[in-house]
Amino acid sequence: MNIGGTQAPSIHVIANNGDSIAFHFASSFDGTPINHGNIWKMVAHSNGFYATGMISLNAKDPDGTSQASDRLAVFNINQSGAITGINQFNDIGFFKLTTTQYSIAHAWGVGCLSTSDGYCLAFGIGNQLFPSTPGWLAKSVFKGYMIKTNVFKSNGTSIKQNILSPIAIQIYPNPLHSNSLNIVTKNAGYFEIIDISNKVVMNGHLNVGDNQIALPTQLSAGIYYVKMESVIQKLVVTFK
Amino acid sequence: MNLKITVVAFLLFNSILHAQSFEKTLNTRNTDGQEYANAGIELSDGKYLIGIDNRVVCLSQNGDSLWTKIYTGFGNIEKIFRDQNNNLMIATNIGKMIIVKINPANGDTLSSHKPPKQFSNSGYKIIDVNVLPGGDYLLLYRNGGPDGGTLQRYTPGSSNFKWQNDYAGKSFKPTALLVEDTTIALGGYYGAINNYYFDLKIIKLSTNNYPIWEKQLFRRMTYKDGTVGLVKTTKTNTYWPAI
Repeated sequence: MNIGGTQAPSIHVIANNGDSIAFHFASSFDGTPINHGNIWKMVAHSNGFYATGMISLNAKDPDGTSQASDRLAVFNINQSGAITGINQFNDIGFFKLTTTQYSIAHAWGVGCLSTSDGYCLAFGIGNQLFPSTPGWLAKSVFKGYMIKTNVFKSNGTSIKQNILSPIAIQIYPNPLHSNSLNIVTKNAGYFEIIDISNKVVMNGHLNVGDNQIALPTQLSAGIYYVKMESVIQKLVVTFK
Repeated sequence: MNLKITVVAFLLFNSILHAQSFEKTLNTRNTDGQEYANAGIELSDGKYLIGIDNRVVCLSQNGDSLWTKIYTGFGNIEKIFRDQNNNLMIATNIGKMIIVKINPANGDTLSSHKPPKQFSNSGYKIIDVNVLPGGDYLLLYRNGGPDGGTLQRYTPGSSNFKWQNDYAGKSFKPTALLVEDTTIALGGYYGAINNYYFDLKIIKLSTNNYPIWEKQLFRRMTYKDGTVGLVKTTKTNTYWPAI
C-alpha cells in the first residue's frame, strides 16, 4: 500500500469493526512542505475536532543554513476526518548557540481543550531563551506553553487516500462446532491462529481460494483469532 | 474623522473578535529548568486548570494567571479529570502512581488513593486514566522501560484490580485510551523495538476485558516514542487513530 503521508500528521478513518476506510494527511503548511509531524491529541468541538501536535518545517538561519524546527501545531478537522486548517506557534526564531553556530528551539503540543467559548486551547512544551555558560551565547529551555486560538490557515494541504485492505480473509463456519475450519483468502500466504493470551496454537500456509483447515484436536472451546498479515478475524470455537 | 472612526471601530471589533485568545509561556519555578504542561481542563466557570510539572496553574479565559498550587514531592501531573461524582482529580506519580482529589477553587488536596498492586520499584508513569460509568478506573501506565504498558481496571480503594493486560514483550506500546460505555479502544505503535520501523495498532476490547478485534495499520514510522491520538465520532461511527 502506498501511503504518501508517512511521517506526516495524519488521521486514519476506520469502521466500528476495524476495517480501514480512508486516510488523511497534511503535507504542507501555508505553502511550506512539512518534513514530518504528529497529531497527539484530538477533542471534539461543535463542528468537528481540534487537535494538537507538531509540524517540522525548514527555516534558514542568519548564515543561510537551512535547519528544521519543530513547531507546536494546532489542527482543525472536519466531520469526515479531513484536516481543514493548521496553525503553528512558538517559533521563537534562531539564537546564537556558539559564536559560529545558530540553533532553533522546538515545541510540541501534547494536549488540547475545546473551550466553551469556541476556541482551541492547546498546551505542551514551549521554549524560553536563557543566557548560557561562557562561550555559549544562549540556550533554549522547555517551559509550559499554552495557546488559545481559533485561527487556522486553510491552505495546509489535506490529502485523502482511500484504503483498500491488502488482504481479505473470510472464515466459516463461525461459531465453529468441529475441528474443520474454512478460510477463504484472495492472497496466498502465512497464517496463524492465536488464542486470547496471544499464544499461537496453529500456523501454516494458505492458498488463494477456499482452504479447509484441520484444527488441533486438543484445542479447547473458546475465542481465537485467525491472523494473516495485518488482518485478524475473530473465531469462536464451541465444539458442541 | 471618518478614517479615525473606521480605525477605532476596526480596533474595537478586532479586540472583541480576539478577546479570548492568548499565548502564554509559563516559567512557574523561575529557573531555567525544564517544565512540561501535560494536562488541562476547563472548569464550569470558564477558568482553565493547566498541569505544569508538579503544579496546577489556574488561568482566566484571557490567560491571566489566577493562582498556582505546588504539589511538593509529586512528579509531572499527567491528567486532570472528573470522576463519576464530578470531583476534580489529578493523576500523577510519586514514584508510584497516585490519584488526588483537589479543590477546584485553590488546588488544595482533599483526598487521594493509589491504584492497587504497585511493586516496590518507583518507575511508574501514568499514560492515561478514564473513569467508567460505574466509577471504576481504567488506567494505562508503564513501569520502566521504553516499550510495552499495562491496562488495568480497578475500583478506587480496592487492594486488587479487576483485571489487567500487560503488553510487555508484545511489541506494542499503547499510548491512547478511548473508553465508551462498554468498550475500550487502545492505540499505539507496533513493532519490535529493533525493527526501526513501526506500524499503528488498535485493539478493541470490552470493559470486562473480552477481545473484540485488533487491527494493524501499515505506517512504517521510524520512531516509536510518539503518542497516538484516538477519537471516535458518533456521526459516522468511525474511529480516528492519528499520528
